[in-house]
Order: sequence, then C-alpha cells, then structure tokens
Amino acid sequence: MFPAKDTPTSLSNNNQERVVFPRAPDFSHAREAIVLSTDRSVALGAVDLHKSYGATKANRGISLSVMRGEIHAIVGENGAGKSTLMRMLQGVERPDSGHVVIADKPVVLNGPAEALALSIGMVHQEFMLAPDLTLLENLVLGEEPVTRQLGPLSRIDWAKALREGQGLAESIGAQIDWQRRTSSVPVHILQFVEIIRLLRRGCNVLILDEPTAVLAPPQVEELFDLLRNLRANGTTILFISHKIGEVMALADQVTVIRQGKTVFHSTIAETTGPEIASHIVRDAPPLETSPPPSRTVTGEPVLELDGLSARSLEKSQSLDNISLQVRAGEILGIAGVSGNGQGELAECIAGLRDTSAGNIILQGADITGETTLARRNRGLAYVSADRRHEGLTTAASIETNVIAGSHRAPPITRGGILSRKNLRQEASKRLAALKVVFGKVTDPADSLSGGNQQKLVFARESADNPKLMIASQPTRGVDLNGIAAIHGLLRDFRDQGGAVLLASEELDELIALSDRVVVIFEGRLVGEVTSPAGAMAQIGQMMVQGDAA
Amino acid sequence: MSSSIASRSIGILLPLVVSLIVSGVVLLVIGKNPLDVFSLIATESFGNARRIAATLSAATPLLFTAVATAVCFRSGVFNVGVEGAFLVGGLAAVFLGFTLPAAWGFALFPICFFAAALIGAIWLYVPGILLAKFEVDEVVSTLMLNFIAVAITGYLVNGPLLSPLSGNNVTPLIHEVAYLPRLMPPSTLHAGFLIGLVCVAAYGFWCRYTPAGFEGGLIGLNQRFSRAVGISVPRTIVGVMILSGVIAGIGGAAHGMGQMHRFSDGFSPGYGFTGMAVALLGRNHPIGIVLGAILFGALASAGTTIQLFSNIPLDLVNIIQGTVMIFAVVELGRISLRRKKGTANAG
Amino acid sequence: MMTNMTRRILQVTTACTSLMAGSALWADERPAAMIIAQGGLGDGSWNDTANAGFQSGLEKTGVEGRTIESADVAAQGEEIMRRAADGGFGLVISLEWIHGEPMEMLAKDYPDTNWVIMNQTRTGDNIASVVFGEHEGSFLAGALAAQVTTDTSIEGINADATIGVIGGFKAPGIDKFIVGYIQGAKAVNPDIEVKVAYADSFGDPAKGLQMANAMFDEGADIVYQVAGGTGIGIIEAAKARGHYAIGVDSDQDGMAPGNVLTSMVKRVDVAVDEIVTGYAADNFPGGEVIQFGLAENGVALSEMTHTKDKVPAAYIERVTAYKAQIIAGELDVWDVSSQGYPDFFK
Repeated sequence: MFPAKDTPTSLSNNNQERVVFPRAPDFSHAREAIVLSTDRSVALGAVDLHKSYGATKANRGISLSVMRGEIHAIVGENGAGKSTLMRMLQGVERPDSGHVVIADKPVVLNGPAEALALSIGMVHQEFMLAPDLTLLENLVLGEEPVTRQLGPLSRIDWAKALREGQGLAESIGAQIDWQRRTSSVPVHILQFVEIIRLLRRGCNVLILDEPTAVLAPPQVEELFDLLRNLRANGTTILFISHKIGEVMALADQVTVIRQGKTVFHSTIAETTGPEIASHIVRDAPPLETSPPPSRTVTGEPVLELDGLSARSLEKSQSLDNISLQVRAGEILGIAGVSGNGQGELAECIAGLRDTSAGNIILQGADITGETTLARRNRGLAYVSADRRHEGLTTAASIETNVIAGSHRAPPITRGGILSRKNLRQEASKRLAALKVVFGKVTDPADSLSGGNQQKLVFARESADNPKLMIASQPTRGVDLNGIAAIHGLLRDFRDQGGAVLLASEELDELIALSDRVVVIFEGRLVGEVTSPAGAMAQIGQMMVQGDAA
Repeated sequence: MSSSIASRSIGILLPLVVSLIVSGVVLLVIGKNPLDVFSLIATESFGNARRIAATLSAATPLLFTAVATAVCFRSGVFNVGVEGAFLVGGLAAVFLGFTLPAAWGFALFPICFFAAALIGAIWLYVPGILLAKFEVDEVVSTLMLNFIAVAITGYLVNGPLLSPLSGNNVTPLIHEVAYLPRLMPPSTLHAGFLIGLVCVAAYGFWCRYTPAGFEGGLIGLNQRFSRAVGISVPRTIVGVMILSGVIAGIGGAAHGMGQMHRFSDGFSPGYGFTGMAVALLGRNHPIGIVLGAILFGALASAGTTIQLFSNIPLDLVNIIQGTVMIFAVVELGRISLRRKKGTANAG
Repeated sequence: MMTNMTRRILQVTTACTSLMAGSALWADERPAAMIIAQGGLGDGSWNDTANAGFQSGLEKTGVEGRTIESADVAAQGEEIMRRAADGGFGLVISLEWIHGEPMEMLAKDYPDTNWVIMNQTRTGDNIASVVFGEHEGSFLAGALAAQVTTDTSIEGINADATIGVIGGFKAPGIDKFIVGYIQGAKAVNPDIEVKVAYADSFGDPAKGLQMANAMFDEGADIVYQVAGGTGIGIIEAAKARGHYAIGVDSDQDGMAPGNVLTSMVKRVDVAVDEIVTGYAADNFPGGEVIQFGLAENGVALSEMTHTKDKVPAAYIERVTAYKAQIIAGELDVWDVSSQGYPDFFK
C-alpha cells in the first residue's frame, strides 16, 4: 500500500542526505508526531514530508498536526514551502517521502477528489465559482439535489438547495442572498459561499489559503467571526497566512515553516508575535513599523489631477472627479478596498486607460492625451499592481524585463541596431544597483522569487531618473526581506526628491510609508488623512463605508 | 546556443518520428514493408545531389511563407493571410515580368520584387490596421482576404491576363531575362532559395538586433506589459503585418520568377498554410524554420516521386504530413491559449 | 559517409527494379508514367477519363505503369518528369497543360524517353502532341442545334432560327470550337443566326448565367458553352429558362438532365489508350501532332441520355451522316488552330 520509495535504495538516487539515515518504512514517526502533540485526535497532519521539483527542494521535512476542532495557522515567507505543503495535503501532489495524516491515519491521496471524500476541503485564493451563475447555482454545482433519481432526466430540487444553503449559512452566522449573480457579490461573501459549499459536501476540515489577502479590515473581522463559529460547530481549520497579527487574533496553534522545514510550533497562548516573526525569517531587518516622523513637504507639485474621471469598461471601476496633488519629496498613499478604483487610477495616470474628463498634469505639463511612452519620457515610472502580467513578462528573460522601455535609447540601440552586448551590460548594471538576486540574465523572470521580481521592476522603473513613481501594491506577494527592501527604495526615492503615488491594500504599509493618505471608495476620493499615524481605524472606516462618520 | 539548436532539432524530429510510426502502422496494415518505403522516401528526398536539389526547390516557397508567418506569430498576431499575400505578390511580379519591355533586362528583378513586396505589404496592412485600430479579429480578416486573393488572381488569369496562346488558366510566360537563375541545373532549384535563406537570416537578425524585433517579441509574450513600458502595441501590430506582407510578396515573386515563370491556377497549392505549419514546428526560430521547410519540401518532392517506384498512394505522404502538422497544431493551441489568457488579463 | 550513401542508392535502385520486375514485360518495355493534372484523380472529368484510358492501355499491352499525383503539380512538374526519365521510364504522359514548356526542354535532355503532352503542340522528335478535333465535334453540335432550333414541337424551342455560343475568351484555341460550330449550323441552314459572345473568364459562372440569359432574351434557344467553369452558369440558365445548353469537354448532359441538348466530348481516354498501345508496339508517334478527331473517335457528341427521346431521329441521322462525310474526307471543317480565321468569322 505504501510506496516502496521509502526504502533507502530508491532514495539514494535523488537524495544523499537521507541515505545517511536509512529508516524502515513504518509509521513510528507518525505515531510519534501524534503522541507528541496532545492526546486529542489529529484531523489533518503531515509527517516528515519531502518534495522536490527537479533540483529545488520545496519541502524537506515538514511535520504538522492539526487537532480536531482547532484553528491552526501555518505561517512562513513566500517560497517557504507553504503552497507545496498545501498541494500535498490536498492530494494534488504526492510527497517524495513522508505521509499525510487524515483523521489519525496515514493516507495516500491520489487527487483532490480523494481528499474531499475524506472531508478535507480547500478554499483557494482564487475562488472556483462560475461568475455568471447565481450563488445558489454555484453552491450546488456538481452535486445538485434532485427531486427523483432519474439519471440524466433528474430535475434539480431548487427549493431543497435553497433550504440547505440557508441552513448552513445560518449555522455559521452568515447572511447570504442566494439568488444574487455571483459576479455582483463582494469578495468576502464569495469566500463564505466557498466555505459553505465545502461544508455542504461534508467537509469538516477546511484549508484556507491566505483568505484575508483580498479583504478590507472590517471584512476580515467578519471572516474571523465566521471562522470562530465554524470552530464552535466542530470544524477544523488550517489557516495559511503571513500576517502575524491575524494569526495571533484567530489561531489556537501556530506552525512556522522556513525554507521547506517546520521550524517552530506552539500554541498561541504560549508565544508572542515577535517570537513568531523571528522564526519566520531569521535574518530579516526589523520592519519600520513605527510611523515616520511627521514631515513637512515643501516640494513643487509633480503630479496634479484635476477632476479626473474615467468610464467603467469591462467591469472595471469608473472614476469620478478625482483631484489630488503629489509634491516632490512626498509619498501620497491611496487607501481603498480592492476594486474601488485605485488600480484604475494608477492606469489612467500611466496612460494605460482612457479618461473621460479632467486633466493629468505632470510637472506643469498637461499629459492627459499623451501616450504612455511620452509620459515615461517626461519622468513617469509605473510599478503595476499586477506584477506577473503587467509588471513583468514572466516568460521573457530577466535582461529583457529590466531593459524593456529603454531598448530604443542609446547605448542599447544606435543607428537602428540593438546591441545585445550593451543591453546586457546595462541590464547587469541595473540589476546590481538594486541587488536583485538571480541566476543568469537570460533566465526567465519567472525564475526569480516574488521579492526579486519586484526589485527587478523597480530596477527598470527607477533607471531613467523618474520624477514620479506610481507604485500600485508594490509589496503584494513579496517576502519580508523583499518588503523591507522595497520600502527602503520608496523612501530613498522620496528622500531624493521624487514624488510617489502609493496604492496599497496593506494599511500598515500605507501608514508606515505615506506622508498623507487619501481614501478611494467606489471611484471617488472620500477623505484625506494628513497624519496617517494612528489613523488606522479612521481610514479603515472610510475604506468600507465611503465616509468618515 | 548549441543546446537550443539541439532542442529545436528535437522539436522537429519528435513529430517526425511519431508520424513515421503512425504511417508505418498504416503501411503494415496495407501490407507494405515500412522500412522499404521509408528508405525509398529518404533516397528520393536526399539520395543524391539532384534529389537534394529537388527537395530544396520544393522547400523554397515554404521558407518565405514560414518566415512571413513567424514574424506575426512571434508577435502574437495570428495572421493566416500569408497565402493571399503570396498570391497577389506573385501575380504582381509575373504581370510586370511579361508586360514591361524585355529590353530592361536585369532591371526587371528589382522592379518585380519591389512591386511584389509593395502589393504584399498593402495586402496585409489592411487587416493589420483593422486589428490595431478597430480590434477586428485578424484570423477572420486574413482568412477572408485569402479567399479574395484567390478570387482576384483567379479572375485575372482566367480573364484579362489569360495567355492568348492558351485555353488554360495561365498568364503568358515572363521574359526569359527575368527568370531567376538556376543554382544546380538541370534541377529547378533557383536563386529564390538563396533569397529565402537571406529572408530567414534577416528575420533572425530582426528578432534579435532591432528594437522593432524586440518589441514584436514582447507584444507576442505580453501585450499589457508592453503597453506599460511604453511600446505602442497597435503600431507594432501594423508593423509586423506589413513585414509579413513584404516577405510573402517577395516569396510569391521568387516563385513566379524562379519556378513557374508565369502565374497560373494552382500557383500556390497552399504554401501559406504549409508555411504556418513550418513556423509552428520551428517554434518561430530561424533554424527551426529552415529545418521545417526542408522537411516539408522533402515530403512534397519525395512524396510525389516515390509513386514512380512503388504503388504507394499520395495519401500515405499526406498521412505523414498530416501527423507532423498535428504536432504543429498542438503548438498552435498553445498560442491560442496564450491569446485567450492575454485577452482575459487585459479585461 | 559518401560510400554509405552510394550503397543506399544502390540498394534502393535494386529495390525499385525488383518492384518493377513483377511484370514479365519489364524486360521488353520500359514502364510508363502519367502525371495527373490539377484537380487530381477523382475529378470525374479530365483526369479520371484519361486514367481510364491509361489503365485499359496498360492492361491490353502488359506495360507496367504508374500514375503520379502531386499536391503541387504546377510547380513540381519539371522535377517529377525529370525524375521519371531518370528513373528509367520509357513513356511519360502529362495531363497538365502547364507542363508543356518544361517537357519541350526535358525531351532534349532525355532523347530515349517518349513524351506526351495534351492540347498543345510541342516540338521534339520524341514528343507526341495530342490535340483533339474539337472543330469537328463542334461542327456536329452546330448541325444538331441548327435542326432543333426551328422545331417548335420540341419543348422550349421557338421558331427563330437563332442559336448561340459563349466562349471563355477570344483566343484561337476557343474559336476553333466556335468556328466549327458555326460551320455545322450553316451547313444545315445557311440563313441561321449564330450569336457569339465571350465571357472573358473561364471561372465566372455568374457571368455565364447572365450572358446566356441575354442570348435567350434575344431569341436563341440553344447555347453552346466553350467557357470552362463559366459554362456551369450557362447550363444553369438553360435549366432555369427551360431552354438548352450544349456541354463541352466531358459529358455534361447530367448537369441539367433534359436541358443539356448534347455535349461535345473530348475522348482523352481514347487518346491515352492509343498512345500506350502504340508505345507498346514500338510505334510511338514521336515528333508528331496527333489529331484525335472524329475519325479517331477522339471527339464525339454525347449519348444524349436525357434528350434523345425529345429530338426526332431524323436530326440525329443527319448528324451521323455529316460525321461519316467528315471521316471520309468529303467534308472539311475549318480548323482555326492550324488554318487561321476563315472569311465567315473574323
């Protein structure tokens, strides 16, 4: 039943380390792990999981015991091995060695369907809901209640489906209008629907992959209440996050993963946030969490928006009469719940989205009708929120990514001929200046870690001495080291007289970096906070309600 | 670089091997010895200098159509209109080749080639601008333009340009002075093959050493990114369409002045479409394109002449070609998937 | 490397020879190859008809033979023919019109190979140019039409002594048909009016339809089509208007049963069969232009499967009489392709 892989002979091919300590293919480790934890039963666990992709050892010894009826948090940096672990727990991947434990028993999972059959359900970051169906249709999709079993002629019993949905929603304290079209529903409700859908299928263990990444603070609270209700009903929750504050607020237990290994485990009661942080990243510079000293910005206005409006295209948020000013030496933060127009605003300024009214003035020149190229030549830099699709071309080489946009300028192109040598030199120079860690300049940008990808974007965007930097979600999906570096870059740029328009869904980040914060809600600016420090609650309220009341 | 050549060779060899297996099974079923047939195909393709020349001759139009296709595919522009540009370019060159005075001599070469390139460029400029400015799907527009090209050239050779000496659908022969010289007489391999190689090399240079080629490759991978770094996507699209038309037109001229010496019905038996398969098989890489063109050239020339020496029907060669093309279409699927994803991302 | 390749060539050549050796007559007669024209086998017309003659010729004589198809027959013709000559074929027939010039060139390079081209005259001691007596066949079509056109007892026929012919293009190759047709009509009725028009296209059925309708409007009730694909429209018009068309080249009577009076059929099967038979008998007509006219059964009117019941037998008898006169040499039909234009048709 269990893979012969566990024998030392077959391991010797790919892993020297493990040959040194051969062990019998028994489950003593599993038992040990269970016994060590507590005397209650393990709903979901892992014993010494190893998984390699080619030369990359994604997991190299992860053990985990999620007790029934508890909320267990897994924290770790991007690239620490969390997603590989999830894939194995869910049966998408099979471990090279080690075992997944479900309900106290080691199991071999051959796919997500088997995990589901064992009551393990996963809520992904990207929801698996069909946008054009109603919530109710999505709820029952794939397992519809029928009036009578007539094979393909069966009729769906919608009344029963609705009763089931309402019952489940009530039991976890959620209010859901089941007849609404999925595409018109806020994200946190979609998350609830995903959860209820799994509950309906009999899942009693839920894995949530960074569920708060897309939520505004009040929505996070709603989600947490719901998760606590679930726990009270006996559901076990594995909660993946990189936000220590959330872990402290919600979880019963925490396991820290670093570089593919389990490095720390504790109950929440017995640990502290700083302790967890110290395990997540051993050599991280301390994040500057204290707000910056209040500065007086006296620089000239670099960017002025005057009544800027844009129409909604393909479900994007429209913009309505936005006026603001960013001065040299200033970081202006834009706070807002995802989807309220901060991305669209950044695109309008970068020349990637048509405006319908108003003016964009860059260093005194009206650039409203200009092309992106003309704007960039005037000193505009743009760090896209969508790093993987707009900030980078992941399939293209690192050098291509860091040069694109400057490829027509000398010394790279002279007399119509593009010099690969000069291109490479310039690329290396840019990458070195921002200390981007990479293999070869010809490797695809995809080969870089999230933080280094974003550093690459900054290396490109800051190369031509820009005057204004539009930074949209600059640290999304970036590890702690990378975040510190990027924050440093933005501060340095500001301190050298640059103007920054910073859009971020991380309120902590906005407050830590910004000299001023404006709040965008449904495409309108609804408020401004001139000293962001300590104004978290005020900003959060405006983000959700659209006013400061 | 050498490893990339190796991997590209595998990219072409693998489909070939699979198609040989498939056709081998077919041969066994119809009671032939596959090894005999394959060795016959091999000798008929490359067995001696004359057969090699015949293969290269058959590969010549494919070099042009494959490059013309690759220019666009590489940039994510799904231009299937190379066939049409090849036809109109070929007819333009041939028309001038028999109407201009023969006394103009060698001056006819640049004139005919230029005219063909110009017509080809205009031909594909139209769908290019429709795509860039009005988002008219280029697959549909270029496909329709192929039908129009067939209709127009068909009308002209069946009517106004019909050779008075002929009851058939052919134009008069071009002046002999405008024949492209043959490289290995008596084989029909002509200087157009060298022009084709120059086009391939120029394409390789364009991809790597020109800013326009750099931009083409980028918009092919990621339009949103390209836009964000200041590249004009519409201009690049129109640019690659024009370039594609120029190459296809030159290819038509080379075929008309080197091979056919006239225009006729059947001037192109679908070189544009075979060129698509070649470009896809060769992964838009210059070396891959040359190898792919030679492969399809070999199948076309040997596939015909083996009928002289065994009673293998043309259908068998079509099976080999078809299986190789299926692999090319797998690649096509990947491209269209990328297109879809690209659109989704843009939305 | 080189020796390896040479060995391989030898192997294959041997293999080829052994493939050929299946026929006992191999030693006597080198094999024959016939290159299929554009459109390929299965066209139900030119290629298939020729192939029928080819196969029957091979069967009769025991000569080994191959038909060669190519998707790219226009461009690759020269290479294919050269390969056939190199490969030891003694007789190479091409059905593709466009192969004429290269064949003329190849015939010089391969004097021991016998070459056959259709519908054109090519010079060379070892080339046989097969041309059809289309003027003779057209004469019979004209004679039949002239008789029918005034017989109002036949459905769809008016009293006017007016018939028509539509050519694809004003060219000697087409006027050869037209002049024969006119001559045949005038032989029956010197006062008959024959309307002549050219579509300036072989591939425009819509135009054929329009022009035929115009002729019908002017009182013609029978229109002879000498216009390839354009003629499809002419037959369509006859069907729609209830008048008559006359088909050309192959038997087109079935395209609009009852409305195609007859077809002037070119018997390419007869021609190919005779060429193969002559070749096998060491009697290849090298350097000759072979006329396949009425006498050789190279042209003929169709069986008139759908119309023979409508047409009085006397008319057909008269046509048969003309045919006999032509074969006997008592009646000369003007051949534009060799004689130029006659006085009555400039």
